[in-house]
Amino acid sequence: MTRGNRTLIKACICAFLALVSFLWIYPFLWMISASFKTTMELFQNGLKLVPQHVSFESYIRAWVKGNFGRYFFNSVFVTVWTIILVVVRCAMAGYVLALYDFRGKKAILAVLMATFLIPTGTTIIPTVEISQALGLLNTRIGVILALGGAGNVAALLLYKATFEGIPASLREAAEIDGAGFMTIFFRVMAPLAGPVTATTVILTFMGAWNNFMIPLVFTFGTPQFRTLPVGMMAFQGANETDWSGMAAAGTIALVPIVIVFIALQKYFINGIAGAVKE
Amino acid sequence: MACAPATIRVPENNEMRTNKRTPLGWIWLFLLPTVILYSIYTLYPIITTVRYSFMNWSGFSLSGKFVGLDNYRELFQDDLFWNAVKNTFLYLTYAVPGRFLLSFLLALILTAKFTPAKAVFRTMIFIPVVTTGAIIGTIMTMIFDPGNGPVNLILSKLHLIDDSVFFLGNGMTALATSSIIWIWKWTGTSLIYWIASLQSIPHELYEAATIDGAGVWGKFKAITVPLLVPYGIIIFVLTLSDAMKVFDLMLTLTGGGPFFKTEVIELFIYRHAFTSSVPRVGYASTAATIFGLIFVAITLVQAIWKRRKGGR
Amino acid sequence: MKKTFVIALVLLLACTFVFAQGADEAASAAKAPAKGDKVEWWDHFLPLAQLHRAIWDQSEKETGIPVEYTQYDPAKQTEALMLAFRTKSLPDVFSQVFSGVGIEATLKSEGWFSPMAVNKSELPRIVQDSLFEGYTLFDGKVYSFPTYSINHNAPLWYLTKYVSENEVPRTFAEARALGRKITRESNKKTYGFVVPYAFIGRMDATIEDMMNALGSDGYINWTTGEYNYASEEIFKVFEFFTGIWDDGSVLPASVNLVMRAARERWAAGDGAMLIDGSWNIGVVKSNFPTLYNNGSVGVTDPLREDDSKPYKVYKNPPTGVFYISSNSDNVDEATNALLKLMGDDYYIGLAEAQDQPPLDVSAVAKASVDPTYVEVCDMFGRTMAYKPSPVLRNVEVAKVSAEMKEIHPTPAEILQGYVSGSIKDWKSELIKYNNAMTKERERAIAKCQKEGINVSMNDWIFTNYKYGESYLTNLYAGSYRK
Repeated sequence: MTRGNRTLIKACICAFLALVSFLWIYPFLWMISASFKTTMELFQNGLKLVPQHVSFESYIRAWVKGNFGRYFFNSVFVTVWTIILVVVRCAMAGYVLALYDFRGKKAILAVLMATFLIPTGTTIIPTVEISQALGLLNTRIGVILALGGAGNVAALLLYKATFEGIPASLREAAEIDGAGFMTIFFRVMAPLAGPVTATTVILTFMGAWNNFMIPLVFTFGTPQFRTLPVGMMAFQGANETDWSGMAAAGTIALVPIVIVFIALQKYFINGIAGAVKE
Repeated sequence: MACAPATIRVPENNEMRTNKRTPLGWIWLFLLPTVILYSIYTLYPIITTVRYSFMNWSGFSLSGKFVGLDNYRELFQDDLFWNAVKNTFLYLTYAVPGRFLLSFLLALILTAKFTPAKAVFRTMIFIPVVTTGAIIGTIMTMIFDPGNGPVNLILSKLHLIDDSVFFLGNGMTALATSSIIWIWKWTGTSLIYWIASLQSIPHELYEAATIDGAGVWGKFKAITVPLLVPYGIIIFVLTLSDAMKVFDLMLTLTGGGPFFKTEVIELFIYRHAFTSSVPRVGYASTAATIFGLIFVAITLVQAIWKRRKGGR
Repeated sequence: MKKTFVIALVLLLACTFVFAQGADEAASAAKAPAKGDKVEWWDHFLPLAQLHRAIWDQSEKETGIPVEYTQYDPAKQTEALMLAFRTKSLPDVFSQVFSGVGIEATLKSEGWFSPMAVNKSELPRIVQDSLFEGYTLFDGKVYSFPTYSINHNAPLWYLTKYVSENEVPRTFAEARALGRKITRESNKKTYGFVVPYAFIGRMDATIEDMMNALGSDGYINWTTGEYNYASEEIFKVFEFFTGIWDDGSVLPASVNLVMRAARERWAAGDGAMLIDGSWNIGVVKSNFPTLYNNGSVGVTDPLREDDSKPYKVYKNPPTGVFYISSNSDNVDEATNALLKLMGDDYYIGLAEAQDQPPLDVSAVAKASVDPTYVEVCDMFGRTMAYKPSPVLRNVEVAKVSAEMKEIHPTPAEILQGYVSGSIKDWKSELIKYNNAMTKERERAIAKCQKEGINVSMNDWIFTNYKYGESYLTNLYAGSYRK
């Protein structure tokens, strides 16, 4: 491939990516500008991005109205623990399902796959009822268990695939060195699942951070434990929507996820490459 | 396959042998959290849903009345249910391949050596995933506005359409349009799945192939594609599951309208369980059960067909 | 490895700290509010939140009992209430957001409510006169009370920028012509109308209101008990709504708009006319202040065919707005909080919020409001009347409504189907709906009768009803068909 060709391809790809990125982030930019507009301005100016004034009044209002201080803390708390729960349990289950055959394995996999594709519209009712029976309502730990305990078959399957892809030689070498089950898992295998772990962290973060119904239902009696999405309800009434407040709230709520995403980017790069070299 | 799993016949007499090859104790310990939690928070709700499907249960009552197969009989004759099934399947055909392929393509570009500022682009593609739903709804109505919306303006400048079409409001185009918006929103998620999968292919393989004289396409065919297949299958199934459960976005964009043309199964269930003036939890559960069974049936058929074809 | 270990340890410590913090909070929360310490309040009245907050703060100063308020979007509130009911965690006070005929009676029989801790005789006269057995009274006990007086959804609001005083339309024909003119003259920058075709519940109600304005009883003919979904009047209303669409005078995005969104587009000038209730001006005040109190907005009577004939729009007597839940431990405190929603000060506050007109309409004159609000409340006072309510005469009728399955498509859905291009022949759809509803009601009545419930088709017939008069309480006795 000639130098010229390579540059041309690079330029095309950049142009393509730039277009894609523009389309992808335009609504986000619009949301930020919406947080500075009055409702009238928002609908009269349509898709234009530049607001008439920039005042952070809506951010302050969003913080107070959405009870952001407290709800932010709750969201962080619930999300962090949900991530820990999901990563740990899915990695462990995926590991075992990948490397060993045992009685019941087929059954477990079959159940997982079968229940994966069932609509979940009404499952909130039994979830709430069994949580009540277990005394988990009105607690944050109830929220964490409900968010982290259900589903997440995606993460489990990805861990399974990753562990299946690790050469047996690695594990055998460790066994020969006298390493036990736990040591092999924690020190040898798990670190190699970096990309999948980073992926799971981000997606669980997002699912838990943005979940509305579970935190709402689990905090009927304890509103001080509510999370940000529940707080966002304050911006939408029957007859009207506080658009600038909601946009400001949406922007504030989005910042942590983006930060985590950027921070975890480098873990996408660390693959098996490093370990296999050893 | 890179790894040979340790297989062994489990001892006939149910004795738990701590064998170096099959540490059953560890295995079940590792499985325990998932088994317990999944049973409580996913299996139990599903089983309960099936139980509810046999009951006539108003959303206002504490308990329902057992009515056997009445709900099922009614559901089979309910045109709107089959409409929801049709809409969901149509939606899957629009949304799943689109998101699957687009995210794959983007992942390839965003892991290639020659692409600059990869992290920046990845973040930008991820942003719609975390943007507030209600805001997306408003802005999409503006973007697809038949009068001044950019989509209509661009399409008519390119002479692809004569009159402006309200893509989100027209009975014929609303479903496809919502699927495009869905793809736009969620591609970021699939993107990171693909990137994680691509990153797990060892560089050595590529280097070795280059030494052997393989070109870009050759490497792609011989290394990338085969090693990605297991991940690809998972990502496909995940996308399928996501698309099937679409709810929030659709509710915001169209509310299931116009005229039920975008009412997918989750919206149908939700309408009957919670927002109708006569909420019927039992009936909604029946819809969930039947629809779930349809999918289980498809999976079974596909599994049997695969085995017939000569399996592994 | 060492670095990873250190990072993991730090993370673990951080998490433990966060968890400990959380555990502390949980413990302190558990110690906090016990019985009688606070009143939990859920409603969907965003415009009234400030007014109520002021009242609650004042009350807290006096009694020491705070009111913990959660604002809900009514769409989410129905689901939340149903789940809360199941787990006995309904708030002390909640607004009644469910729709359906006789829903209050249904909820009462299913055990959702606690009676208020007050006797009917202790309430202000105006409130006492508005209480009805089956709506707000059950077995003589007070469960709730109205805070609004009856109002409807069909006033025609317009932007005076596009509609001059002598152009204000009163009939369908005038409105259609005006709509075409505005659309044409602005070169489609501003359309004649914005119509929330997607807001099904409201559109169904608006269609009925406009049928009333044409001289119809509404969806039910009270003399024969039959449904009117295939009547002349509904066809005329449909001819209007489909006509303006076919004329091209309606903002095309209307197909997908709910009321909120339609109002936003109208206020931004995308359409000149909007059919909406009295709260329109209240929303304009809080969200579009540049249009408020300066003559930018005008309102007029619902459009009809012949504006020389007097008309009446019918509504049921007002029902309760806030109810106390059955699992409430704080009935006394909740009752006290609710009692603050009566009285002149409150009614004036309500009037100033410019939402639905207050129970005591005279408060509007004492409040500082936009002239259009005065006009529209006056309109309601002149042109509205009580319609007969089958549930008030025989509370068992609520069971028939609960038994009837929803038939789709409803008139509003048919209308949306037409404008979205899915239906061509709306007339036959309406006739189909009429037949289906008739059959469904018969089936539900038969089923209820089999279970021993005392209902019949006669429950929908009122022999002494006459269009043009208000159906007052004293008329109920002796109104059954023999």
